[in-house]
Amino acid sequence: MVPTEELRPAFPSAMADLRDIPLAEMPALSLDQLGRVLGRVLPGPVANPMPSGAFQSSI
Amino acid sequence: MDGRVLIPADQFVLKVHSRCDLACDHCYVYESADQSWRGRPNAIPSDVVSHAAMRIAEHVKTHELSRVEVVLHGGEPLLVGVAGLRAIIVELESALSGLCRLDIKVHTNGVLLTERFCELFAEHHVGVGVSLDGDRTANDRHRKYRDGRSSYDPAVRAIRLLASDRFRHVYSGLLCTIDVANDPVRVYESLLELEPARLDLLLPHATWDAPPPRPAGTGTDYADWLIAIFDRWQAGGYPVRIRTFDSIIATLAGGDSGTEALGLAPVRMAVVETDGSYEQADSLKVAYDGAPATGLDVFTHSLDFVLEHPGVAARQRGVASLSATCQQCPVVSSCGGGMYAHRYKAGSGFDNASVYCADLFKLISHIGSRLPHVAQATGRAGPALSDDALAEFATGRGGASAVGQLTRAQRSLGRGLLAAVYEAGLASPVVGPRGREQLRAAWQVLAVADADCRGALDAVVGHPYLRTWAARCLAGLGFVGEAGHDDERLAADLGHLGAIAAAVAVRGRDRARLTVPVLDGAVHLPGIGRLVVGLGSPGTGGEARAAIEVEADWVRVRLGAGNWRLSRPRLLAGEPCLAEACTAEGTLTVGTGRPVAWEPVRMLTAPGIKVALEDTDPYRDCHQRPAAPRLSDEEAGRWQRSFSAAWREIQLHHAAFAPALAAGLTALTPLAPAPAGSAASAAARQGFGAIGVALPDDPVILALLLTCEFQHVKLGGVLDLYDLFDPADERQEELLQGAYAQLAASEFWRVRAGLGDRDHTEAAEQLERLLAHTAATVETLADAGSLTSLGMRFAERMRIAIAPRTKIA
Ligand code: SF4
Repeated sequence: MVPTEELRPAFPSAMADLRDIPLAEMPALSLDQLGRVLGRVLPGPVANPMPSGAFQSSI
Repeated sequence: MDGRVLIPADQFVLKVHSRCDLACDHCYVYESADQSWRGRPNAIPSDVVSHAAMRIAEHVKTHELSRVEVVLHGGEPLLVGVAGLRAIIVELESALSGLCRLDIKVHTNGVLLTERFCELFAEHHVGVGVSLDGDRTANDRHRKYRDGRSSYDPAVRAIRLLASDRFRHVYSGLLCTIDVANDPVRVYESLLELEPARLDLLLPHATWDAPPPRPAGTGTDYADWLIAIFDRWQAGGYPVRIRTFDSIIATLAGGDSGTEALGLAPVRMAVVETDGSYEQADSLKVAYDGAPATGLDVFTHSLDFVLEHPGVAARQRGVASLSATCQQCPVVSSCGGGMYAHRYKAGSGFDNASVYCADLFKLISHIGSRLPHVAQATGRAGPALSDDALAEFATGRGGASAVGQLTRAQRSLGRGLLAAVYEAGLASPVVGPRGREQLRAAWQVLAVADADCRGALDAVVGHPYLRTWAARCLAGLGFVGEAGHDDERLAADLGHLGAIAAAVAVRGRDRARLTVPVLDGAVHLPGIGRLVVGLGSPGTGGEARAAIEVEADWVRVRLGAGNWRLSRPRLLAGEPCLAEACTAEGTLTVGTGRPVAWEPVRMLTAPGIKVALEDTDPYRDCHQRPAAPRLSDEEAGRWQRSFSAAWREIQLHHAAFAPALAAGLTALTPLAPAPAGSAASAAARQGFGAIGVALPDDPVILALLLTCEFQHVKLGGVLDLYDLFDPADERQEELLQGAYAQLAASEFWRVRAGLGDRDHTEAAEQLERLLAHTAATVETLADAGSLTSLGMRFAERMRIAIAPRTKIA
C-alpha cells in the first residue's frame, strides 16, 4: 500500500457533520449558517450570506 | 498603513436624510453625545449620491467584490420622497451595473410608508426593514411624534402592507430596540404576529459613562429579557430568524456572527453622511461628540482611506484589539467584546469590556447550553474521508468502505439541505400562511422520525433526487419575483417537503397527516412510488394539493372529492397495489370515483446488488438527456434482463468496480433513447448515487456505462468535501471528471481486449485512444495552474494509475 499521509488536505471539509445534530435542533441554524456548514455545494441565496460584521441599525 | 492587509468593505450605509418625523427618546442619532447631525443638509444632495455611488463602484473594481449591500438610512429615509429615493436607487444601480451584485435595503420607522413607496421598492428589489418596539404599550414608551402622539398605528399599517402578498418579497424584517420595562414574551409575540422574515432585537446604545437602565437590579436584566424570548423561540420551533440569536449560534458553531454587534469578524462597512463625509460606525455617536468622524469624504477620498482609518482598523483586528478582560474570556469568540461603542469609558476609551458584559456572558452561555449538539457538531471538522479512501479514489478505484464514507457525507448534506429548504420555505414570499403551516407539519414529522426511527429518515434522505429537489428549490428562491420565474412551481417544489415527510412516515411511523403538491399529475411518495391522479402540474393551471394520511395498515390520499386507500405493507414491499376508492369516511366504494393508478418504484436486482429503477421521481430529470416517461412492465422487464447480464459481466470481468457500485449505486434512471446507435448515460453532481441511462442493446455496453458513470458519482462526492481545484475555474471540473471516467473506461477496454470475446482490434483501439486521451487530459489539468496542492497530488495518482494499463490483461 502506498503511504497516503501526503494526500491529506491542509484544510478539512468545510461541511460540518450534521448527522450529529438532531433534526429538531437544525432550524436553530440560520440559512446563512447552513450555507456555511454545508460547504460550497449549495446554489442560490444560501451561497450568498449576509455581509460579515454587518451594520446593525437601532433606530 | 501599518502593514496589515486591507479588508475591503462590502456594506455601505448611505444617510439619505438627516432628520426624522418621529422624536423617539432612545434614538442615538439625535439624543446621544454626537450632535453632528445639526450641521448637515437635510436631504442628501444629488452630487453626494453620485460621488458615493462612484466611490462604491471604484471600491468594487479595486477589490473585485462580487456583492455589496447598500443600506438607505437616516434620520428617516422616506422623508426624501418617492422620486428622491428612486433617483438614489437608480444612481446606485447604474454605477454598479455589470460590476457586481447590488442589494439595497432601507431602514424606516414606517409611518410614511405608502403603496407608492412599496411599489418603488418592489420594482427595484429593495428590502425594507421597519423599526417597531413591540406591542402598542411597548412601542409607545419611546417611539412617538414630537407632539407625543403614538406612532404605533401608522407603523403597523405600513408593516401589514409590506406583509401583503404583493410586497412580501421586499419585507425584510423588524427592528426592535429593547426596553427591559416591557414584557419580553409579549413584545416577541406581538412582533411575530406581523410575520417578519427576520427580527433584530437591539440592545439600546449605551456606554460605561451612560449605562443602560437596569430596573430589576439583577445586573443581567438584558440577558434575562433576551433569554425569555430565546426559550419561547426555541419552544416554538424557531418560527422567525432573530439576528442576535443567529449570530450567537453561528459563532458557537465556529462561523461569523454576521453583525458588528457580536463576534470577532472584521467590520466591513462604511457610513456616508448627507454632506458626503465618511463616518466609521453609526453606533459611535453614543460615545462622545465627533466620535464617528473620520475627516474624510466622498469628494476627495476613496473608500480605502476609510478602511485605513485607525478607528476602523481597530475593529478589523479581531481578538487582538480587545481589552485584556475580553481576551481571556471563554465566550470571546461569540461575544467579541460586544458592540464597539458599548465599550466606551472616558479615560480608557474603548479598551474595556462591554457595558453589557454580564448580559452577553449569560446569554451566550445559556444559548450554548440549550443547543449542545449545534455547538459541538458544527465546531468539529466535517465528514472527511480517511487517508486510505482518499488514496483509493485518486487511483480511480475506491472500494465499498470508501464509497460508504462518501454516502455518510451525503447523508449529512441531505439533512442540512432538508433544513435549508424548510427554512427557506418558511421565509419565502411565495409560500402563504397555509403553506407555512404545511411546511411546519412536514418538519415536525421529519424531526420526530429522526428521533424515533432514524432508518426511515436515512432511507429517504439518501435518495439521490432529494438533493436535486433541494438544489432546485434553493436556486429558485434567488429568482423570486423576477419576470419569467414560475413562483407557483416554486411554491409546489417547496411543498414537496410534505411528500418527503410522507415517505418517511410510510416507512417508519404509526400515523401522520400531511399535505403534498400534485406534481406532473401525480401524488408522490419519493423512493416508494406515485399515485397518478391525472391532474395538471403547477404552472399549467392545474395546481392541486392532496392530503396524505398514514395509518397502521393504510395510506389514504384525499384530493378534492377523490379519496383512495392503499395497502401500506404492499407499498413498502414495492408490490403492485390497488388504489381503492373510498367514501369521505374511508369506507370502500365500488365502481365510482376517478380512476387512478399506483405506480411503485421497481427494483432492479442481481446477486449482491439492488438498485431502484427510478422512473417516477418528479426531480429525476436532471441528467443531460431528458428522463424517459414511466416504463411499461414489458420495458421494465427488459431493463431487469439487461441489468442482470451487465452485472454478471462486471462481477466476472471487472470485479474491482463491483463493490463500489454495490455500495453506492442507488438508482438507475431511464433516459430518452439516444440517437440511433449511440450509447447515452449521465450522472448529475446534484444526484449522488443515481445514473441516468438510455438502455443500450448490448449488456456489455451497459456494464461500461455503469462503470464509467459511477466514476462521476464518486468524484462528485469527493469534490463535495475537498477543493481539488480553484472553484472559479469551471473548466477544471469538466476536465477532471472526463479524465476520471476515462480511467475506468481504459481499464474496462484493457480487460475486454484480453478476453477475446469481442472484436479484439476494436477493444485494443479503444484502449489506446483512451489512454492517450486520459494522459493528455491529466497533463492539461496539471499545467492549468488552478489545481490545489491536494488536486495536484490527486492528478499525480491518476497519472501513475494509467501507466501500467498499457498491457493487455
Ligand atoms: S462577555 Fe464580557 S468579557 Fe467576555 S468578551 Fe464579552 S464583553 Fe468581553
